[in-house]
Amino acid sequence: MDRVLTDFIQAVRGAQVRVSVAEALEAHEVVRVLGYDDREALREGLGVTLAKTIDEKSRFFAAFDRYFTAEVFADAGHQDYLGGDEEALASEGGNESSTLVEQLLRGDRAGLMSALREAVREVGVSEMTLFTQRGVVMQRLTARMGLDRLDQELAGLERSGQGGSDRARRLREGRAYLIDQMKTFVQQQVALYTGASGEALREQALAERRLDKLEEEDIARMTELTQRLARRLARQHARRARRARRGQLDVRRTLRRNMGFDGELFNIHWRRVRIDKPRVVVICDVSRSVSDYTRFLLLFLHSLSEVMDRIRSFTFCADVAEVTAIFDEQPVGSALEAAQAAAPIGPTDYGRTLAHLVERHLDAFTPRTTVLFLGDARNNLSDPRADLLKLIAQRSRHLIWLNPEPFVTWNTGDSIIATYQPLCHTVRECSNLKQLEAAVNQMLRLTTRAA
Amino acid sequence: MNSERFASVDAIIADFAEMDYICSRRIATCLFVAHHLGRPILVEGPAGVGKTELAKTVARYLDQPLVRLQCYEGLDESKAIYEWKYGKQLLYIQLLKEKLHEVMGDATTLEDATARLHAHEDVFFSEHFLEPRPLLKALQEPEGCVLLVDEVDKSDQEFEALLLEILSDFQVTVPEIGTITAQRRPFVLLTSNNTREMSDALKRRCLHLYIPYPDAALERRIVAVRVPGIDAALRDQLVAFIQRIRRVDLKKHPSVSETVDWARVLVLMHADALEETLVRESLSVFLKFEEDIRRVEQEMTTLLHESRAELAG
Repeated sequence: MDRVLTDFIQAVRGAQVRVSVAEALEAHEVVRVLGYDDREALREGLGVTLAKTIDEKSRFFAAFDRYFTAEVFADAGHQDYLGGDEEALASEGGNESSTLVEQLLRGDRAGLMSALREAVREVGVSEMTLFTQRGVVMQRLTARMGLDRLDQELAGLERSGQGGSDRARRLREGRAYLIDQMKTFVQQQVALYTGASGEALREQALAERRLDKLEEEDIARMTELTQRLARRLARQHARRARRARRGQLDVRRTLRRNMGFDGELFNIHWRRVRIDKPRVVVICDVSRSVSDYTRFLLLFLHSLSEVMDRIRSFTFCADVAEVTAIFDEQPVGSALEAAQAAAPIGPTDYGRTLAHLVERHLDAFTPRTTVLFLGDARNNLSDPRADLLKLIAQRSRHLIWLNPEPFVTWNTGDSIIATYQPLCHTVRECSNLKQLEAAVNQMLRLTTRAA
Repeated sequence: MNSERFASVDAIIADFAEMDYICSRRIATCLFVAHHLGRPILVEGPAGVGKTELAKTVARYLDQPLVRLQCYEGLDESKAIYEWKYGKQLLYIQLLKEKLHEVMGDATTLEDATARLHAHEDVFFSEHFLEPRPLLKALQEPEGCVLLVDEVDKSDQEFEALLLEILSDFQVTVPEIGTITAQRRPFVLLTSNNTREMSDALKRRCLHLYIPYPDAALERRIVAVRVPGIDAALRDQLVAFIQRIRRVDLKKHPSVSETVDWARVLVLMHADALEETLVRESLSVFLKFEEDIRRVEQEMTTLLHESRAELAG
């Protein structure tokens, strides 16, 4: 097994490309076939072996370029003191000079590079998981490279009054250069190995952060996270729908069909379970009191409606508006604004919203519909019209209420969640992505259960 | 013969160019690796970038037959791997009835008759009654073949599982007969339009090749090879315009095959430059949605202008 490739695969895994053991072995085969000489061919060849999605490919190629161009000790700027009249300098120190000192004085770039690579491997940079470990790694690395011997020699020179000598000056410059190059190298390696796991940690933290407590810079990443989540849920759910479709032998029909064959069973008939296409109605509050959340709720809805067929979406504030068409036709950016703007502005009125839903869209609620209600149930003291919510709940298969407020603030002030709660099948707190995922997961489970 | 094939990446590029298939270095490297490792290739990319064409060209290159399995929702093993010839079984039973009587004739008890039948029952479940479908057929080709599993993303998740045995071991198992191994390993290509993610198990067994829309230089070469009669200046304008259109937000972007079609149409119309009226008249050759056509028509002047500017710059 060759070390370069093994380390590289480690780096590729670090860049969040999933590489199985079988694929790693195959990569060795690829190298055997292609060799290291043709770098472009190797890049493409490993690319088709290790990276199996489009996203993975771009990450893979970035990692490849970073890994195979990670060279230091190469910049021409330091030419003047690395090398030179090496004979004289090397002999001056006599036998006691360490290899490192000799390499520095002689300007042996290749030697320095391989010593550094060796040291990096022994210190275990590739096992680092956090960029904060950089300091510790540098310390261990300097020890491993034999910098202490160099320091001893420098100190010796100074003690004996040769601090200003040519050799001492060169050693000092060489030391600074070495440290500088080591730092660069470690930086490259760290970027290679920790980039991804650090990213994973940040994403996890984001998923648990409350949606209204997001920093500006997090929003872009959060957007991506939301879309990925919606896609994953839809995929899982699609698998469930397919499983529910599998039938069993329909004995009655099979017998009936084969009567013409004198009772021999040549044509077998399978019972088909009716596929229960999920029908989901989402009603989302976009009033000011929940405006920090709505952005993400709507974003999530938009991602969901891209992957699920039968979603009807409504937004409401003072009154309700259907936004299904907006979600279907417009790209994310404009759709979110349009959906938010579609709902008539004013103090939130759950009663009126419910009244209009029942009046205009009652046909949307059938025994096969799952209703997802997103709102804080802060009704500005108007009539809650719980009777209408009850009607919707009775007509639908499931009514799930997601409240973005923390549980402790429910039923304080003008919150009337207690009035609605007994009418819903489930009421959940939903203030971060994780809870949202759990809620939608439950919803999809309910909608796809075989009828 | 095949030993001379796939000698090096550059040789593949040259040989394929001779057969009018212009392949990028990435495609050639992938073919090279696939051949030497004996691995299937999963080819992904938008429709019409030459995924199926690649398989056809490989078949011509190897001088082997192309066995093609078109996937669709509901495809199962009886359509993809094998099926019993029920009709033939039935017919034979009828024809052999007398023979059966002979065999059964002097059996006195039910146990005896069953025992006698047991000695013969496998007759009707032998390879004579096996109808090979594309996957089994590919394994049975004595000279080897190129197996194309087209649009594998259209099939159901369960079908992927059926493919696994073939992809990793080049064999299928028929419960009544046993395991049938490939006479010679076929060169396997699977294509996918990415309508859904393929399972990890499938991806692990394949090399993964992504073919995007070609860049302008590559597309110019493709058009030149496919439509030899086209004027070079017109070709460059046409490719620049198509490349520009691919950056417009459309329902369906024009693919390479549509670029080629359009080039053919323009040659037939004796065009020598990309005039606005001409483009308007032939838009429907490469745009397949009314909405897209309307959209491009609206911005036609700017698009043409920009594509010319890009060509000049």
